[in-house]
Amino acid sequence: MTHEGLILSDLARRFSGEAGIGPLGLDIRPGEIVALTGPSGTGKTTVCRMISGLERPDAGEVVLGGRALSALPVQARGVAHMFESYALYSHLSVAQNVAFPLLAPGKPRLGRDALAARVQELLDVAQIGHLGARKPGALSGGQKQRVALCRCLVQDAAVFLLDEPISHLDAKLRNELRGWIRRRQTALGVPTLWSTPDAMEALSVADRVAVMIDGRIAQFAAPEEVYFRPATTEVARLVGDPAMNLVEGRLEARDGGAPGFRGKGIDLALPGDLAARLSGGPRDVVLGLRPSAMSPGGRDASLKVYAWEPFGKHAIITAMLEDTMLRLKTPRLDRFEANQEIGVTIDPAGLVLFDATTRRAL
Amino acid sequence: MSLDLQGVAKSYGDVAAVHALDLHCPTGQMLGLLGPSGCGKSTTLKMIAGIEEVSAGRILFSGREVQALPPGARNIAMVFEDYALYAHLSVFENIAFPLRVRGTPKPEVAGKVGAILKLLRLDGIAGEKVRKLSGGAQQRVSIGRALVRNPEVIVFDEPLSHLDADQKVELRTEIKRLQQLQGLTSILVTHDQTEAIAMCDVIAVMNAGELQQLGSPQELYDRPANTFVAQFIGEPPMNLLAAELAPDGRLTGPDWRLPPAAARAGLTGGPVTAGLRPEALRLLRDETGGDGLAVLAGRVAFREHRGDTDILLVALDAPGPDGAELHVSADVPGPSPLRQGDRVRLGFDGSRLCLFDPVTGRNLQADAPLATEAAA
Amino acid sequence: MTDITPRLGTVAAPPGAGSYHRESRWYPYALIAPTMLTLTVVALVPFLYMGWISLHEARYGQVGAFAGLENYRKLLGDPRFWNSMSVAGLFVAIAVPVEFMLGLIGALVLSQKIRFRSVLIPFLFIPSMMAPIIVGLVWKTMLAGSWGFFSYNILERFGILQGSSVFASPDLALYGLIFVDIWEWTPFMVLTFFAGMQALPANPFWAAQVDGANPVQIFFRLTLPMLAPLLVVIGLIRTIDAFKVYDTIYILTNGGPGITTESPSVLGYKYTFDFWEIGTASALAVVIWLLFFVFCNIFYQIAKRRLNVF
Repeated sequence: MTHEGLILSDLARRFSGEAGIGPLGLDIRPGEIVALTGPSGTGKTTVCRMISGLERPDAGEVVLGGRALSALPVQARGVAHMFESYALYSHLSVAQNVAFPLLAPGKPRLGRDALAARVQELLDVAQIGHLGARKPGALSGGQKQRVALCRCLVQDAAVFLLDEPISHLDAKLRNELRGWIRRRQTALGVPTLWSTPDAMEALSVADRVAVMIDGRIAQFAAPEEVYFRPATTEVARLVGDPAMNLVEGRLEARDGGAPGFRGKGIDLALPGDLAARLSGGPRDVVLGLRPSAMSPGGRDASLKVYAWEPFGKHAIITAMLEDTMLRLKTPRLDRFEANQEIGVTIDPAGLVLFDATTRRAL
Repeated sequence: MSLDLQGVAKSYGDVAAVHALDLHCPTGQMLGLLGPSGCGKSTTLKMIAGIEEVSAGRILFSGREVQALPPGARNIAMVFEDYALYAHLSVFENIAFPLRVRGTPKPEVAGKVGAILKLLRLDGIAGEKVRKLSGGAQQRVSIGRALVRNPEVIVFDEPLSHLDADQKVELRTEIKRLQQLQGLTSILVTHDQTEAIAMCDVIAVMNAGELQQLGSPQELYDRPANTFVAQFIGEPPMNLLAAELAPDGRLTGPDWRLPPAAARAGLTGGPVTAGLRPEALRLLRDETGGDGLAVLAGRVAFREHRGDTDILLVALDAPGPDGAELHVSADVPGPSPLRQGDRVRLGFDGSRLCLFDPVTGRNLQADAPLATEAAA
Repeated sequence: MTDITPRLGTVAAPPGAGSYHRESRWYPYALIAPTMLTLTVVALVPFLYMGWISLHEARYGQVGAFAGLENYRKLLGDPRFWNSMSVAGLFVAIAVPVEFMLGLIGALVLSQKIRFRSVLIPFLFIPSMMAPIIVGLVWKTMLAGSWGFFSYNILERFGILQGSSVFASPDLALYGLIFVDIWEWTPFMVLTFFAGMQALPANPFWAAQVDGANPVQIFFRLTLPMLAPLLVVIGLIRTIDAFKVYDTIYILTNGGPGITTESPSVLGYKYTFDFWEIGTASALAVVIWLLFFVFCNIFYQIAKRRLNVF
């Protein structure tokens, strides 16, 4: 694991009285975007702060371009850090805020016009070009977030840390900025760490995704891998739109002898390739069922509708399988009433099984 | 209780925040106020709640004028973006607050709050201080505080925007179910179209203080009133392509054409903007095309992984009218083997196409059928 | 750093030892060292020296033989000491609660959208900006017998006082001092509480309005509890400050008439520079320090448990 990008090795941070962070390892190649995702409070922001030097790790090292960073003060690390809390300078205008990092001592001086042009270009992309003269106090949350994003991206940095860069924007803008940031960062050829609590945003924007649970990296892999083969139930619970359903049950031999899954209100044959990988006797397992793997109509399981939400191109049905709440995603747009009984068909292709004790994928 | 806004406007000095707004929300339904930041939705909400005064117009609760009443006299409850809980009080006391300030007798408070705690599955944590709870639990407490005194209208101001994705989905379902089961007339203010579409019966899309469209989620999705609504609803947004409409209904783009169709007959010919949902574009594996199918050719500029679907941003071979590169997004089944730079051909038929006036952006077919009607 | 070198293979040495030690473990301590040193020399050393003196015979600037607790025995046997404690106790017990209430009321008034607020606020700074000696002189004049503006127009007209200064009356002098203290510190309390109220989040107040709470309920159920941390801190500071009151008393009454307004600070001064009992004065200082120490601790514990502050 040696390259010119950013490497975190065995990084750890302890807090008195609560569980700490790490040790965790992560690497981002030049020009690569790695997304760090996980529930809030899991330590994503602390990881960013340890990279930029605002927080000191208790163990481990941050290496950037082959150079250990822990010796360097914050200013000398060449890290552009966008803060989740925006951290805008309230006494400066939007344009001055964005220009600020370029005026820091030791940075090459830009001409007045060049500086203004560079700032304006970014503001225009973020669709706040007309707000350059305003003070942050007069902006909405989404506008402030874009100013913070511009102030980060304007820099000539060796690594970019984007801590929840687009979470407060509307869907259209989020969609546009996601693509734009991605193309820009890839072209710059520097490592970018994109932290977000939204796992789907992580999947769509990153080359690789690190899922962080309780201060540790539970899975670090390509988006497809994280989506189709989540490493633990915790990862499965986070990923997907909506996330994967988890059903507790037992792995038992069925009539034909092949292993099947039996849980409350459900009895399923397992597809050949999955069955072949599972050896040994009966055991407790957790079944991972993707919402799109179930469709209304059929007799694989019987559910009671809890709520129905239509989304224009598909609908999400929340329903109870005995006492487990499941979500189905269906292209059917007809209405389902609360407490209505429905039968479902389960597509065995996308099933995932986890060990009931270790919660790891089998 | 039904809610009506008649010509409601708000201005700060000479700046108009909300232009004459007419809205109607039937009894027991949820009305969404949806729009980008600064569109006037929060101001509208505050006027309904009575926190802001109206500059003009009338607000009616079941036909009764309330715009002159103070917030406490309107029998309305609010759920705030940041929960707005009383941090020094316990879960129980937060929910009991509206009853306590009314001098409700103690046994009655205990009974009512107990029922709410059970309904929202908060009974295990009734004694906890609210600031120690997760965001989702805090927002449930705030909903409990709103429900406990049987308000006539309950107003949700961006209730999910500070929650984690999983809590968001869970609470979204929870709110919708409560609202339906209890028949609550409610208003949801949000910038997130997913939330509005999932939860609301009627949605008012606003932009720059003006109402763009009032309709059911399916109407907004299938029959957007203008290009603003078309691009604001749906993720990724609707693709807009310049085209030429012939009087017989034939539609022609730079390198694609669609034959005449009944839905387009009767419209005046001329330049139009064609709106195409990303999921209406299909990846064509070979050189097929043929009858009734228009083909867009280009290169993958960017692929977003969304789990069971992939979103492809495709740079089209045919440039736009000003010579600039044109992009369309396509929502295709995932995981697709395509990578950046790969050549693709995307096909679409005319069945789910919207046509807009290229100058005003207005939808030219205000009476096109909805997807649900077409299916039936 | 060494433990990861083998696995990474090519971790370059940090550029220049200079930048390395700048970020070492001791760097923060080096930064605060000058301040700590200064504080030690100017605060801790004199304090310890005072404690040492209090255990010795010390008169007329000469520190004599070790005296054990003799100075403390003398102090606690002196009725003037107990008198000073009750003077300070009464002073605190009246002045601080009154300043608190007036401060809260003033802050509530300022929080309304009243006119000329921006003009009014600078005026509120005036009393706390004036040197206490000047405050004393102003009020000495205002309350001086039949020619003082205040005592003539108010006290004499209503027959409360005849012909002499408030500060010459054994019954009224202490209340006069309390009045001046209230005048001096209430505006400060108003400003502090006003700033605290401005910093409270707006949404809970809207929520309470929508929930149907009236302004009185909102004040007692929301404003006060949410301000609690600030109230506790300000209350503590003001209590200690009022207990130590010295300069206004010195200029207005110098502890008189008799010893009716002799606060511990005034008594300490007299022990030292009038009677030259330096040992007893040091013992007094130590006793007061102990008193504050215990008081602050009890206060802190109560605040922590009852109010969920800190």
